[in-house]
Amino acid sequence: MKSWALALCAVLSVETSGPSLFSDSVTHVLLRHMMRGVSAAGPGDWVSYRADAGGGRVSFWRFSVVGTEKDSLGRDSLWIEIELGQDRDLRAPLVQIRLLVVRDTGLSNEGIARLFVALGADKPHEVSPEQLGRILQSVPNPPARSIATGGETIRSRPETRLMTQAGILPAVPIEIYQEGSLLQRIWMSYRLPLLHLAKLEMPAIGHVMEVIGFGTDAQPRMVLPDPAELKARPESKLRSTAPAR
Amino acid sequence: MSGLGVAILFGATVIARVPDEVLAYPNTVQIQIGDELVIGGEYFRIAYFTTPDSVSAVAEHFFQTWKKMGLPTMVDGHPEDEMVVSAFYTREGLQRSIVLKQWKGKTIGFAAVRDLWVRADASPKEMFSPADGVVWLQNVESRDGAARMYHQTALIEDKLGAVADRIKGQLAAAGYSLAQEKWLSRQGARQLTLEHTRGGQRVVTHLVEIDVGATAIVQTCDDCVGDSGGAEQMRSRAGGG
Repeated sequence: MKSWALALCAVLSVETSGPSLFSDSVTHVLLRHMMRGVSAAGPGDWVSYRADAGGGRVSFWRFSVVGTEKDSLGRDSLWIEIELGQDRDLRAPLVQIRLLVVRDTGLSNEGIARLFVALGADKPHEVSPEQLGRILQSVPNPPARSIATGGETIRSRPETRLMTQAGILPAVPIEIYQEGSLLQRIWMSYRLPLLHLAKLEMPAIGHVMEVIGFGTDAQPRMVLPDPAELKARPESKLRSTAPAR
Repeated sequence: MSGLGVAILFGATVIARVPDEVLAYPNTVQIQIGDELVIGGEYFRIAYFTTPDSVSAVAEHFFQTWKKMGLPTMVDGHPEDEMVVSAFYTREGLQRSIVLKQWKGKTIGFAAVRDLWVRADASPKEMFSPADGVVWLQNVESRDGAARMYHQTALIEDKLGAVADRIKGQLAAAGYSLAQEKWLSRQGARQLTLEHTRGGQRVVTHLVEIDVGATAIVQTCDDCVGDSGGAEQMRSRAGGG
């Protein structure tokens, strides 16, 4: 499988039938939230996170809405950029992805209409519709069930004020217990765009993901291929790619 | 799949925020060598500097500075021999490297910017472009202001006479005239030098029969015109550094 396909699967493969390396990671829960749709997001929304997996293993994520467009079927869609890197400012991301996501469907394998990928220092390129279709078919959709199954218990606590690196936020803690043990504590805040996720804690393994910034002034940052190289999709109305916030 | 994701997610380290660019080693003057260099189709810009500091001290300086800037950075080599420090600008598709060598009590540093996205695909039509029999071929193009120099070295699996005929034919088709043809024999090996001209342009080709059925070529062209669009793209992304 090509490297870009691996990266896409890494983003989308959040719910598998058996145990996986992602099954206990902060990413697992974060991306599960994304699958629920981006209908409330608007152009300019952005949110960034710091993920700490312990032992100095720190990574930074940024999600931003950088444009709107209708997909080839006429559905309202959003251009979403996802960046992942080692540096808080994401000066040189290790992964850059730009997705055209159907607003009502969300980040699922039915909701991705177009995809640009850049891995490391490779030149960004668009994944052809044929390749995208093949890859998305191989990614299982999350089952339409509550996460509270198989011995899991969910407890929602009253809203409180949560101190984060992005400031003090009103947040609702949601705790997930597995056979009596606290598995995850997810702090959801209506103040945050896109994922509404303020903090994610996995006490048993010491993993933490916390919001470090958010706003409404996102601009496209990913350098896309020259339009002359885009042989397909002349209806594309991508914004300028000048680096911005 | 998961291995990549896990590596991406958890292979990182904490890095501070230092946005300033680093162009030169402290207390040194960085001297650019030409404007652009095209090696094997890849665009480079190269400069050098010298310092009394040790190879390891200079390597540590660039490694730490680039790391603090948030760039994926790697270092390789041995302090007593040669060290290379590289940083990758993933948004711009550029690699900056410092090659450090100890020489007569000083450290010589070669600073290179390499374009990872744009390639110079089109060689000047004057240069020998063998369709088959290529064992090895390397192109180097240097540009300095209006002056351009194109070098090509190749090893062709063919007899010297046959290769020479192909070169003559190609240059004749490009409008060049044969100005000089000189045969030599050194240490039992036949050598041929061809000089072709067209107006103010000159192509010199040295051919050496290095073995039965194999010919080495060194070809130089003054002021040949190749693809220059990539150099403009590189300049715009690399900025002044």
